[in-house]
Amino acid sequence: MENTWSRFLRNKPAMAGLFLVAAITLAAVFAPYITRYHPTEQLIWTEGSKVQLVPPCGRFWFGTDIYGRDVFSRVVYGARTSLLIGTASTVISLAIGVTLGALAGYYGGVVDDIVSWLANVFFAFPFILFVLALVAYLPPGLPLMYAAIGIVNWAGVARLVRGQVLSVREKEYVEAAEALGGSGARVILRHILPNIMAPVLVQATLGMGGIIMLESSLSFLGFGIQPPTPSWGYEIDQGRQYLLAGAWWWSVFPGMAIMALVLGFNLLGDGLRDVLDPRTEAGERRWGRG
Amino acid sequence: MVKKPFLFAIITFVLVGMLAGCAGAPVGTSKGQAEGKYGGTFRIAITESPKSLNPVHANDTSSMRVVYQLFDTLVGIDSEGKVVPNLAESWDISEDGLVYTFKLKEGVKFHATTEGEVETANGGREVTAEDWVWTFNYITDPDTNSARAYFIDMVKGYDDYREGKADTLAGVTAKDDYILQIELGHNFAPFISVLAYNTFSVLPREDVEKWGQDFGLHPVGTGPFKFSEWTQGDKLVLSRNENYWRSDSSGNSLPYLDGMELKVINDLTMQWTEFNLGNFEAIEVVDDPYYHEALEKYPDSFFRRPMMGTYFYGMNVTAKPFDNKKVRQAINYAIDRQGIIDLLRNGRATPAKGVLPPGMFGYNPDLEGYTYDPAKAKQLLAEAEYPNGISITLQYNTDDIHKRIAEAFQQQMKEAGIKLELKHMEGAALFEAMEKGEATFFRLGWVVDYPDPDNFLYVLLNSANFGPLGNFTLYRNPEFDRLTNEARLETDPEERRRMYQEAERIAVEDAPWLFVYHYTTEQLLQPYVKGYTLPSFGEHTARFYDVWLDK
Amino acid sequence: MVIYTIKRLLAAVPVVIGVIAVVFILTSIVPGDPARIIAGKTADPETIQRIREELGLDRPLWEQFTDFFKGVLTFDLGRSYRNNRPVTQVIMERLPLTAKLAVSSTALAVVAGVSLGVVSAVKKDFMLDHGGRVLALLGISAPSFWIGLMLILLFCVKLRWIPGTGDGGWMYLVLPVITLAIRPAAFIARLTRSGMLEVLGQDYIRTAWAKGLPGRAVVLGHALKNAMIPVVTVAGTCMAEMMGGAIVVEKLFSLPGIGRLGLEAILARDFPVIRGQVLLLALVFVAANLLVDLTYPLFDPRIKYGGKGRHE
Repeated sequence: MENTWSRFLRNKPAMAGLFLVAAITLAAVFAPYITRYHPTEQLIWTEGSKVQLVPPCGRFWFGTDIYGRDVFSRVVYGARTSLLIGTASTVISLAIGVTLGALAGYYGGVVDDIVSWLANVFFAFPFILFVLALVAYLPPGLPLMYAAIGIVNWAGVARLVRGQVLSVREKEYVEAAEALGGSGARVILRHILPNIMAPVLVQATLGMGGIIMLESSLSFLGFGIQPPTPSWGYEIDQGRQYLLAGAWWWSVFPGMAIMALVLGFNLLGDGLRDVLDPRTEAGERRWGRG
Repeated sequence: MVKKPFLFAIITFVLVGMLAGCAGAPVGTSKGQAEGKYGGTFRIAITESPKSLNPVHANDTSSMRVVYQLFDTLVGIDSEGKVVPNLAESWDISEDGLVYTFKLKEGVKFHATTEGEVETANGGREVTAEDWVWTFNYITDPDTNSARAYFIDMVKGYDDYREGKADTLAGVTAKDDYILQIELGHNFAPFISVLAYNTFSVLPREDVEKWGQDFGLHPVGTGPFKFSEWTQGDKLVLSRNENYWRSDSSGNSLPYLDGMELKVINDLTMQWTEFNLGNFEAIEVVDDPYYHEALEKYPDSFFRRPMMGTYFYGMNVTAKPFDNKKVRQAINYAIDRQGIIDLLRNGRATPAKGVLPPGMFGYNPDLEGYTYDPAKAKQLLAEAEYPNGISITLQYNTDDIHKRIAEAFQQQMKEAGIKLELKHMEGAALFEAMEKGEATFFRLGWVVDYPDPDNFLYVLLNSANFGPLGNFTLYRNPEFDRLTNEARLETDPEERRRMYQEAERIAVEDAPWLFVYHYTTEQLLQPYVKGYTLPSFGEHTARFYDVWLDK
Repeated sequence: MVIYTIKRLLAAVPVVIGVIAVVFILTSIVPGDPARIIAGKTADPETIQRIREELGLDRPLWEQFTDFFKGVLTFDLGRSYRNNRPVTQVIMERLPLTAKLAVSSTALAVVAGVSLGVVSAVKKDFMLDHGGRVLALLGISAPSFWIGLMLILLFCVKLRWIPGTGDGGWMYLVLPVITLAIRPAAFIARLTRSGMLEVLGQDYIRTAWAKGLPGRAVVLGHALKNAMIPVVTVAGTCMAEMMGGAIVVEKLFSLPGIGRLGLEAILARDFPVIRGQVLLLALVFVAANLLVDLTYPLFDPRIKYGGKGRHE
């Protein structure tokens, strides 16, 4: 373990990734202390058009939008939205994916057939349409977004876990546990899962980037978090309308924020994989959408 | 079947982001004095794909825009809102106002070919009064299911025909090939202007019967342009009708253009970019980010004029918390209309004090309306026993401009203790939600169909018109109902004016709407486009028969 | 090989059935009555009931589901709720554009990605390699709609080079294709690099490499072959996803393709079109995966699809 940890610390890209993720997370947590204005505060109603679409300056680091809102503040608070959705959806997809994958790998037979079929169905499903439909038809709200995105991502996790379980279930310690009369659930929980958590952790980290990207796409299409809650994708869409009028800052900065956070998770995930699970090829991973 | 009150153009609930222009500035027309040049294709970028090109079903601005090029009505409305001859050369109205006799133009022919060189079923024959009789029967036939058949429910025999008690619509008859007579069951002064609506266009029976339900995808009419091809959601092409009945003042045949091309570009930014690249002669909407640039770049071909229309948010007065008049008034005090128009809309609208737009008969310039007063709003909410404020959800049809305005209201209402949540959906889904009472606070727009307050007050707020007929707010006030009912039959203009002003005052006091602003209509054209007139009823009602390209 | 293909196709049937089942379940729990939407805003209850019957909406979901599959066999996917046109026609109208986009951007991604990967691998740890890797990382991490936006800003607004939108021919597709290609290209570059390094790092290869030019060509060929399997996998997945996932790019560039059709259909609750589209995309996905698997033997002679062969 010592060895793994020090290898991780020496892995420069991983450290860069950790730095990006940590910095953005800290900014999100301490958002009220590092921003001058609340992200939904529309200054034009008090100060008029002179605070409308102001380019980046000392007072507004990332400029303002048509409502005279501070784009910097919206970007910082937007990190909260992205991280919240990323984390919650990952937890949901892990919960479903690990459970079903482990059951399929451990019991095999009909259970495996059903889970594999379900996973294949979800892989073959045009997935952005699925999420769009869910979000468009059901009542608006955050929990729903987590669930919609989490549901879609479970299949990848399940497939990974199933493969891993298959590879360890013939191992001696598993067989020993079974010989001692351990129940299926107990064997899975106590003996199998702890031994396959590394690749799952890698996949979850890499998956965060994909989810953040997906959330921003949904918001860009107008189906994500509804205003006035700041969301990077939504900022880009609104800013896009004023891009040709010269207000580049409104869409450029949120885009850079997405890039930084996704890059952070990608570097971190790659680094973790190098350290924890050198066997896995980069190619095993589905390229994220965005 | 229950006798339906007439609803003029539910359609004109404006669902597309209609942009308004400030009054003044170059209004109107690029009519050239000289005769036009032939040739060229008029390319226009539109925001939404038309739904149906069958005039009886064309019930959105996108469809109307095309239908006005393919078909002809008996009468037209000129740029000042006056009724003018079209396929009817002249008409006569009996003393009692019940019998309309139309003298039809001779030599008007249906399109002989369509979709390239395909021959139409009618073969390009002449239009006679019998065609009109058949068309009116087709429109009002219940099986046709036209959403606007009851626009003319005052025609004699309408109910009997709808209920199956009569085989034909008794009130419409052909006296000879070129004399058409329409008899009404009761007097209704604006009737003649109703006939200018696109639904009441003459149709070739053979082609309608050939295509049945799909006539809307294969339209054949008498208009200056013929249907050529249509890729849904993308491009619609019209070609010149070489047999068009109209000619210019020097006797040259019309239209001048070889054809028209309508391309769907949902994104307003892209519309503007492409227009600047010279890929279009016109675009439907100039979005606010580029408004000033458009004024500077195209000073002589960016037309703007006030349009009789109102942008509002309806409230379902039977649902909490909107069942309380004070809440509705509070909401009206909570928004800064002028602020939004100036800061977000480039001043392209007039704040709405009430229901009726300026320029409308009966418009009351002295109406007080609501001002921006958050303190008063708070106080009213407290009086309404919501001392901690209220939380409401606005549902609107997906559109960047609606979204921008709603987001500003969100902030302003917060100051008054109103928490506003937003939800957007497609237009048809919004109507459904309104009807089912799922949407209790909803964005709508209404543009005039005929210049009479009846078209606003009666249709949108009389309790006879609940739901899809026009009154989605379910507002009911006996005094308002009495006034708007009696005004329909009243013949003395001054008395009518007084009744409508009183009715409007009541509606403003009861506030079933959040009154937002009155529209203006605009059309941005390339400078080389000549002969164009911006109609007072909105750019989507423009006819392109004498438009030409000077290049 | 033929037997393998047939087996794979048969195996895909339950998956496609599952996909459609999910759509049916989803569209049946959605609030909103399709008959109401079709009938229009002013229809009376009788008309709505008539339409419900015409569409078979009054029958159990199970029957509607089996009917749909009977229709699939005869290429009849029903009619759009919005304008009563056959769904197959509606989709076929939009498909060519999206197919053009998907094919050209996948091709571009493969060419650009493989070239960048090869250069990176051969010049390992040189500036070119570092630069290429950073670019690839950034490319993977940026959302495509934002990349597209930046391209519009640069080319259409600042440089005024390329007409931005519409489907007026190949020129119009340049920006969307580049936008779509950047992320897969970045990904492919990384895969190619690591795949090639795996081979180039081996001792006997280093020896061959040292022998000079002719040897080097052989080595490169060998290394490239080794890298190609994951590349083909990614290219296949990427193409399948672009057929359905180009929504944001189609919206950004106002392109009337399949993605925008899906968006319109969802907003308007046009369920037959949604079903047809999901079916099509599921089929594309299955076909792309099969094609990918069938190309493996080209790159790795050890893989053979005989009657007995097994490959997952």
